[in-house]
Amino acid sequence: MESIAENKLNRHAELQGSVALIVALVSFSMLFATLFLGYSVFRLTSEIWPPAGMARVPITIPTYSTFIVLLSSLFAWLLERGQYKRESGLAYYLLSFSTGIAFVVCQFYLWDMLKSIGVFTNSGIYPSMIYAFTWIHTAHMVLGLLAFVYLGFLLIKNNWNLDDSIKIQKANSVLRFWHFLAVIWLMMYALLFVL
Amino acid sequence: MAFFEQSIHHPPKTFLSKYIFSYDHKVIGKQFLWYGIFFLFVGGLMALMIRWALAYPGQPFPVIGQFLFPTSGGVIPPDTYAMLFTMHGTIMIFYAITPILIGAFGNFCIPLMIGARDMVFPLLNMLSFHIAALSGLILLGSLFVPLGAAAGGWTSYPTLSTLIGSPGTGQTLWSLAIFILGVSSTMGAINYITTIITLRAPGMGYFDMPLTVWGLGLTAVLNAIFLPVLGAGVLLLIFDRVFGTTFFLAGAAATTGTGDPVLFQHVFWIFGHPEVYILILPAWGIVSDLLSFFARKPAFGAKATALSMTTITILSTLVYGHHMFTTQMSPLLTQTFMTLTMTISIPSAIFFANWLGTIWKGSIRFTSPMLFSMGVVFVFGLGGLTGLYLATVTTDLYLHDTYFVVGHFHYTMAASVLLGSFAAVYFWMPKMFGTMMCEFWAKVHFWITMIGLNGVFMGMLFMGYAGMHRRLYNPFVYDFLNKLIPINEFTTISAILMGAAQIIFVVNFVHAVFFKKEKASDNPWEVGTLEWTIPSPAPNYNFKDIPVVKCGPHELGNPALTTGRDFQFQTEELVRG
Repeated sequence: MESIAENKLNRHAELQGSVALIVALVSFSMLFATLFLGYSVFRLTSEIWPPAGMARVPITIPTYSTFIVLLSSLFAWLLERGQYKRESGLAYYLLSFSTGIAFVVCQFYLWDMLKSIGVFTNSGIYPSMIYAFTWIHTAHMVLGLLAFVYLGFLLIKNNWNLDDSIKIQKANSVLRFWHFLAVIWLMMYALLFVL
Repeated sequence: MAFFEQSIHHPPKTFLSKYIFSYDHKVIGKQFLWYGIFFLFVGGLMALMIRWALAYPGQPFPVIGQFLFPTSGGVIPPDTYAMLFTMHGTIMIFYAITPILIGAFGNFCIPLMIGARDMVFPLLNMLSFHIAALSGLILLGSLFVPLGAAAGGWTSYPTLSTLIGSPGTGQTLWSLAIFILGVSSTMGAINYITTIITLRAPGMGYFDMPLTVWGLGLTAVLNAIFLPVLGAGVLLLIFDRVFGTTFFLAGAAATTGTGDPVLFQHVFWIFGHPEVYILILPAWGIVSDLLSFFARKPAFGAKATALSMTTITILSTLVYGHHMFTTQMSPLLTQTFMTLTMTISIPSAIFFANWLGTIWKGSIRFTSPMLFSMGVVFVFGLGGLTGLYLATVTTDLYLHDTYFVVGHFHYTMAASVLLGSFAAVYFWMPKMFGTMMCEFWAKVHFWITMIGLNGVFMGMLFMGYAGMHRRLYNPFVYDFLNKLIPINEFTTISAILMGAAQIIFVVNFVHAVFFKKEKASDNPWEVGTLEWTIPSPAPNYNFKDIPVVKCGPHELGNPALTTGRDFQFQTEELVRG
């Protein structure tokens, strides 16, 4: 009898976590969608791209960033797949977290590189978009890293054994947000640097 | 909703845990209520200053003018006038109406009306208020910075809002405050939606929810989807102002590599039109319930009303272009937006007819919440009908940016929402604070407010139709507007009357909250929704046992009832004849 009640409680917690996460991700998506809308307007109304005779930004550092964020997302997926157990989980957690930090470091290198080649925020709409979009995305990545720190505390506190749905739901939510940011970066990489 | 156990909060013991850092949705609701009332006062005072400048240009503002504007001898200077209408709009929309209807009554009503012990995420709820408080402080702080507060209008269109139009930090702080408030409201929306979906009492289907909860839930959906759009817009505006990016600087991207000011208008109104419904939907929901409660009849076509509100929510996302007919938009687009906007009339007419159907042949009790609800029906009818002229391209081209627009949106967003808020305050007062407000003074408050309010907003419609442009410091420098001085004086006197009526409300409210000894009964209005099944004021755990819902929220006037009451609680089996 108790296990049925417990089961119901767990399913309910899962439902709450899922609904909240979906709504939160919709909100985050709308923020980035607005940025992409702005990009589309400028891109579609411009006869040449980048506009006003600007050179394209070198793609090397963004490509590294893309590779790193995908790796981070992969490690996060493996962490979840291993049900957060210490045996494999510790390594995947550390790998995912450190590649996340590496991504943020890469963004600083990107901004430094842009300045070194004379591309500043006030150089026109093309650099404005690169700077602003990457700032906003990186701010979210920092939020994601903080969520990762929270996940670390959760795992250590529970001795790498998440035994109820509520905790698993919390851990999964952190990782879903992480994957979401990776997808957003992929879109930014394609739109700002490749196409 | 499947039954599950919800934990009971321990009663808070310290002052801080009880009043400042409370997790209790009811306390957070009250925090938002005080916050909203404070800003209502600030925004209202600004409105009176604006009205004074328009009726008596060049004359010092009475009493406090000498203190506020000493360098001009108490006369409101032109730049200050621009700041006043900007901050008045911003404060009333984001810091008064939103906190009162969505923050206060959303928080207070949703768990109580769906039979839950609290919101799903109480910590998130508490943070939501504190972030809103931070935003309010930043906005108030912006009034005191060098060069003054934001002055680009509540819409903050570039280039009025870029460094060219608004030098100084006022506009930057405005943008920051709005962004932070957006974060707060989005957090609230996540909480509201999740709570409504997952914490409804056993037996409560979506159509068993009171229409108040429908309105608040739909508002939360719009908030979650569209506030981030405004967030992105103001973030880019901040970047333009602080870091020198060029998103909204004039110049076509293709030729000069700079940005596009009109892009901000698109982003603003993609958010801004749903925002109108964000503000009005809770009021519609509340009024739909109260009309039924006080007509002692089931809400006529309650399902149709709920579905109409849902339809309007969806349509509201598709019509924003009607705010931009004069931006050289393609005629194909203007006609599309016009048609879509007109389409909103259909669901609006359905629930409006349902309101009339609800009170038709009802045993109406003219209590203060009912008077205010009927006031909403009247002013929203006027506001909605005047909207048709602005949705039509041909008439909008003439009326655009005139006081007709100001009158229209004040009828819909200010009058309807304000009266709806007062209805809600009077109605839920016993459950919130455990006392009733004085009915006599509540009715006096209603009638004076109603007369003053219609004087103000009707006057605005007339002067706008005569061609008076909004946002002019002294319109009477133009000969053709000189004849409008008397109607401007009339409008200002009406505004003063309306403002004075609010003193009655404040005294009545403060007396009921702090000084009234006589406690309200558990169900003074004799209605059957779940919050009236528990003591007044609501205990910190709301429901000792989670209620099981067996009938709808509007079971009133059932002739088969033999209980001596003319209503049924939602926890009772529906009596059939």
